[in-house]
Amino acid sequence: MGAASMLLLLLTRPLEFRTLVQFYIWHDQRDVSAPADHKYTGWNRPTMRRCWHFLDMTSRSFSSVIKQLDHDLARVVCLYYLVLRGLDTVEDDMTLPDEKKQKILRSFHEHTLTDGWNFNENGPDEADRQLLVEYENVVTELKLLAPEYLDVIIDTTKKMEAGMADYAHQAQTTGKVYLEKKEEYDLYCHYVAGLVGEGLSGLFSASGKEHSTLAGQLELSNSMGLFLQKTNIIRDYREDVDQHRYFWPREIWGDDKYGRAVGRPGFKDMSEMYRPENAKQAEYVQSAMVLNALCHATDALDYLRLLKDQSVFNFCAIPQTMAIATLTLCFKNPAMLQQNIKIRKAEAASLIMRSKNPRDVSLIFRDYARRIHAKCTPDDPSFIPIATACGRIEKWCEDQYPSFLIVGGPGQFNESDPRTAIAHKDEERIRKTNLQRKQKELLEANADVVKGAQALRLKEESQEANPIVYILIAFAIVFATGVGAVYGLIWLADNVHWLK
Amino acid sequence: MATESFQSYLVTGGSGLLGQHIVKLLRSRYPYAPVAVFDLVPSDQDEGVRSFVGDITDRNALEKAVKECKATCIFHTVALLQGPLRDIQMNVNYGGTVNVLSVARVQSVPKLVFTSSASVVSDGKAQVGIDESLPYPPKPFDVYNETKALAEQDVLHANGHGGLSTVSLRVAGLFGPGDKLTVPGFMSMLVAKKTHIQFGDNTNLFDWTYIENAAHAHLLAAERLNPDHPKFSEVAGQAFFITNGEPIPYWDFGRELWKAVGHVPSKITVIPRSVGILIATIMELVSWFTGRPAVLTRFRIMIFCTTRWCSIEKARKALDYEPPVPLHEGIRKAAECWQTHQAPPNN
Repeated sequence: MGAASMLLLLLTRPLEFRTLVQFYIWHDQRDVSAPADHKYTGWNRPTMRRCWHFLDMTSRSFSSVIKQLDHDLARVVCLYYLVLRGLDTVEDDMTLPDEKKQKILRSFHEHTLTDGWNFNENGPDEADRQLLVEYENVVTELKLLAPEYLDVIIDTTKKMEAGMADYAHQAQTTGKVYLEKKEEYDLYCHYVAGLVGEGLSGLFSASGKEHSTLAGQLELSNSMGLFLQKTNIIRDYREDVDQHRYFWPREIWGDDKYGRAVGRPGFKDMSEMYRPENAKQAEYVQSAMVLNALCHATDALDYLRLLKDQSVFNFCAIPQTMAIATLTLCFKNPAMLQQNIKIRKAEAASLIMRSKNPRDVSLIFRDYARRIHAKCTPDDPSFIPIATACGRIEKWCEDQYPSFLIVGGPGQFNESDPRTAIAHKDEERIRKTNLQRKQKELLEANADVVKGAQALRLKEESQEANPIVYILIAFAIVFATGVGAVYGLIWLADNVHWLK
Repeated sequence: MATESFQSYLVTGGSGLLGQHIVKLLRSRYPYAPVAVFDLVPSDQDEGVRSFVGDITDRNALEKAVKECKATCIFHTVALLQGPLRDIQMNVNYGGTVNVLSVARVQSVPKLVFTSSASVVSDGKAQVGIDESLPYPPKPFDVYNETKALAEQDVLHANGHGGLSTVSLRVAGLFGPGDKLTVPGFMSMLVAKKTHIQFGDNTNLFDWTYIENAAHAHLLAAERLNPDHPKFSEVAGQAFFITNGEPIPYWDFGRELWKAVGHVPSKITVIPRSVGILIATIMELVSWFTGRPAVLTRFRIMIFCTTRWCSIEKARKALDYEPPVPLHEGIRKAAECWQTHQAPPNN
């Protein structure tokens, strides 16, 4: 941002200005060229330096989050990203004949490990063609990776190239332009994004920064990718339609339900949606697409909770919070159908600064879910399903971070919440169990002393029994003496004459 | 399940909303099992269903019915909702249950499924994602909650005594076709043209249960009261929250109902909770002076603005309960039924 636009921002939106200032002051960017870091970043090698350059060229948004990853993970993910980018560039290129494309795509996992391999047959308009022209740099760097990293990268490449080749073949040979069912849409997103998520989980596990079982969390990893991909597919509606690329499934946009709601038939063509006279029907389709994406949100939150490394967490969480913010921006926004829309810079900066732990991230999700819900109107055919999806995010937050626990407050519990009573009861139970356990331990540890004390007490008790006997004897003596005395008196009275 | 066909079912309140649906589901799932109904009014929904007419507070009438149909499983759904005098509610809700328990013991009925309410643990305050570990409140919110809580405790204590196994299902926000409380309540706002008014910020999640889902849960519970069932020990003597598992902000429910009968409010006026309480207080005061019932009470404002949803994880695990009818579909069915049978003619 230039000085003039910053000044303008200060005057028009001082809060945003403040956020950006704080972002520039407090948010450190990793400098991959720093000499002390060379052993991790590989900046000292010309081939790797070229790779870092390509990362900056191909992806503005991902480049900074990738560099943030600790130690060598940044370099590994950078290379992983470039391999998949290369694959994508072949798939995207409509100037390549199908035969050629199939051949390159289906053997990309071999090319990517062939010394000196590069590809310069991409059309001149292909944005990232230079990456493939100089692909030998990526090959060289890949070969320096530890086998546990390389295995994951090659494995993902194999799966993705097969999926992309299938879709490209179908599109170029059958003339079929649309994805039909929601399941097809999910599968397409799985190939281009879900697999990226699965591979990343594999890399995190391989690095030892995350638990080895993360690599097996395929369903959640897939959802992480799908949530981002679907958000982009929704936002890029106009750009894609103008370039005759259609990723929205016909089952959603062509559904009669959305036509019926305004007394028309369902859409026949995706470009009908941006015509002003179709605004209402298009809005309903747009809502249904947002709802479809929103269903992955709690999976993404589940995944984020599994992470333990801070740099991995930031890397994963930032794109997710950006995605839910973007979805919120797109929801019921007619501008999305006309042009490219983006969340504001200050909003992005604020999200980056706040996406630091799963609790805060889930509260960000909840906040956006509430905004989506507030924008939703009952006339929308997806009204209740959207309320339910937003409710599910609220539920997730409440299940994982229950609101009766006060974080950072003076007390631990919110006393007006009924669940606090359960917590107190539980605390009391734990306290008692602990006490009993301690008592038992103490008794066991001092068994000798206890035994001695018990023996002593037994002895004392048996001695304590004696006084009763003494008392009884004393009683008997007193009794006998008494009886004797009375008898003596009577005898005396009988026998002593002078007493009569 | 084969063993379910050898049961003989008796549904108390079988002509009521939930009772009818339980009977219907029993008939379709176990077509060879005898089903009987005990209710104030005779049941005419199905010729294969035996109907006993009687009052739940009349122990002899109940015993006669249980004896005659040789019941092996009782669904006790009879309850008087909010409204009538304390004594009557106490007699029906609590006294009626005491009768059912006593008859079940004397007649050696092995299974009892009790229809409870999620409000047995309510003290009127917010309930965010509560589960069954929550104790009964020291001060019940109203007479209905109090009587249902008393009855539920007796039912659960009776489990395991004299060969009787019991379970209590705490249904939340029951609604469905033919319902006389929830759907007509929202529809009365439509008839009164008050749909544009919203009390509170509508972020408070609220739980609802479609009637068929509730009936489904009852049958699942009855199946599991068989000592041979692997989940028997997780179910007998237990209370379960039953909902649709889809809590949504309170007002959304009404708006979807209204939409289903062709009405979408064009503009919504939001009245904050505190203002609502103030208005209701004034109205209640006026009502106290004039003797006319208040349109708006503090009780209703509380309902509108309070978060009330619970976890159904326990039912999911022990009863294998998964609500078959999603919320939006249930709302559509309920609204359609209201429009054909209950809507005022000029609407």
